[in-house]
Amino acid sequence: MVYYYPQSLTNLIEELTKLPGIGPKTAQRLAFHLLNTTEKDAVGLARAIMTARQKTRHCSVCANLTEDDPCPICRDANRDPGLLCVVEQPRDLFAMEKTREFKGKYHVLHGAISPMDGVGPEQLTVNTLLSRLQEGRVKEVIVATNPNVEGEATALYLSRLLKPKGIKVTRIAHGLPVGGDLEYVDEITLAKAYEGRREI
Amino acid sequence: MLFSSLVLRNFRNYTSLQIEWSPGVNLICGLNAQGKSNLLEAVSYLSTGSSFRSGKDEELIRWDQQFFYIQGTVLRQIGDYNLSVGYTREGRKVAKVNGNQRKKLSEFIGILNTVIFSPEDLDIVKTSPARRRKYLDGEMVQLFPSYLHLLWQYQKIVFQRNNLLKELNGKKNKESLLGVWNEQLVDTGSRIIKKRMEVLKKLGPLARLMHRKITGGLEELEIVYEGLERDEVLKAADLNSLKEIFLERIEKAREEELKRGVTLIGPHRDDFRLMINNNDVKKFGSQGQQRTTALSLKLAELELMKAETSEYPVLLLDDVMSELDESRREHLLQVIGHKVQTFITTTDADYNYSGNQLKLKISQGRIINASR
Repeated sequence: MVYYYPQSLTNLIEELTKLPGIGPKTAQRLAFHLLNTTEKDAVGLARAIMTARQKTRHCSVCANLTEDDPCPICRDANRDPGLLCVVEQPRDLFAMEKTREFKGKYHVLHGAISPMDGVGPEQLTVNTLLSRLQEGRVKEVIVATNPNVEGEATALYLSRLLKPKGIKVTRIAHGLPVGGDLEYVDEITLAKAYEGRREI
Repeated sequence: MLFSSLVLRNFRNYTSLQIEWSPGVNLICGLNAQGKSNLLEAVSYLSTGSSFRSGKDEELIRWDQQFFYIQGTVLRQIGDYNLSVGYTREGRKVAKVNGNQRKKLSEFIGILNTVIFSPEDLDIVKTSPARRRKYLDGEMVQLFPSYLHLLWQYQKIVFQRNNLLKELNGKKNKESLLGVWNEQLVDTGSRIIKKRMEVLKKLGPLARLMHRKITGGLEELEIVYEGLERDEVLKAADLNSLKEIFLERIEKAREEELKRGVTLIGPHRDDFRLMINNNDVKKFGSQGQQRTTALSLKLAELELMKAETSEYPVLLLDDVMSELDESRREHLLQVIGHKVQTFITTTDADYNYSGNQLKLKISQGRIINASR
């Protein structure tokens, strides 16, 4: 007779394997760590997961992750309501925030158009975006979706949808990383930067 | 460009091997299945980082061993390079240039350039458009590494668009989404078509020249690109008018595309026609003419690489000498002359070349005789 892990431990390992970037071996290591750590730490983790899930939701205005609805950014009176930056994921919003350059408001799509995954405009937060724009305060929409095939399709879709309504639609530039050396940049990025060159 | 030495460990049927090559012609003789082509495969591997015969690196490891190792020295105008690749059964591949590991394969390929001519190349002339596209794209990637990215991106767009076409079938109201994908398809697709035409514009005259020489001026070879549903309008087009034509075609094909659920227009469907004295070689050419055409294409490729990189690549002739008649063989050797380093495999042990040469006799993965 060959013996395996107790059922509860097997379950824990299986649950951990479902997480992104975690394979069976890492899951096993994490599971044993959780069993060997103090009760306080293990329960703390479980509580943190539950609390984060219960307290956060999508903002009813911009669809960003938030604990209060509407979210702090949407309520911030110092931000320019005429500028709206559209991103794919909440993590893109936080990346944009780190620049401290952008002083407008956001809209999170929660994905990009991708027929192979069955994602069209209906699966994104495009409808709430449209009703936001109907209020008429937004002067410019900045599309900051990823520079890949799906992100580009989403950007094109939004520009076709919004331009006829008289709203200015811009796309963030593709180009060179700042502080790098030209010789180390890959050809595609350099070719894109060349295409988007401007007069100085 | 000279490929001056080769070291092999556990590669195919070779346990261990070390050769210093001749800068002229290197004849590799032997009976069938002794390991002649394996030597060309090893040289080509150092050029492209993969095998031209097998998609699986594991098949290249000697059957009773755990790894293979290839090392070679390349002398170029800009300096000497020591290239090596090791591969283990666990799937670990390590490529080094002058002893320093290169993490990206794109930093390894392109140091040694090769042109390979084997009997299968007759397929370029004889078989399907897909084979010709594969040939052309393959050559272009060697010359312009960024072209590969364009091809990948285009493939992805076509895949996404086909998914959408299948989904839209029967739902008229959602067709506005198609426009978004059309725009990307047309943009990326037109760039591919333009790049292909640019390359054919250079390759065409070179192939014509080669073909004229081989046939003693009797035959005129022409390469005609056929894109966007066989339209000659393409010839003089710039990128913007290409996009316009492309968009027009794709709008016209909408009904049919929705019905079939696939993208019907674009560079993934294009072809190029090879014409001798205004006749399509594929349909009307004799076996001999088809062979000559394939040879002309390969020799043109050699000249194109010389023009783009300022050095001749290394020429690998895999078992083609027996396929060519006396006059074509003569001409081939004339072109090679003293300027292109060449590796020739043959079963004909009496075959000799009058110039600077090294002759190897191969038997069961060993060199049994080497004469200079």
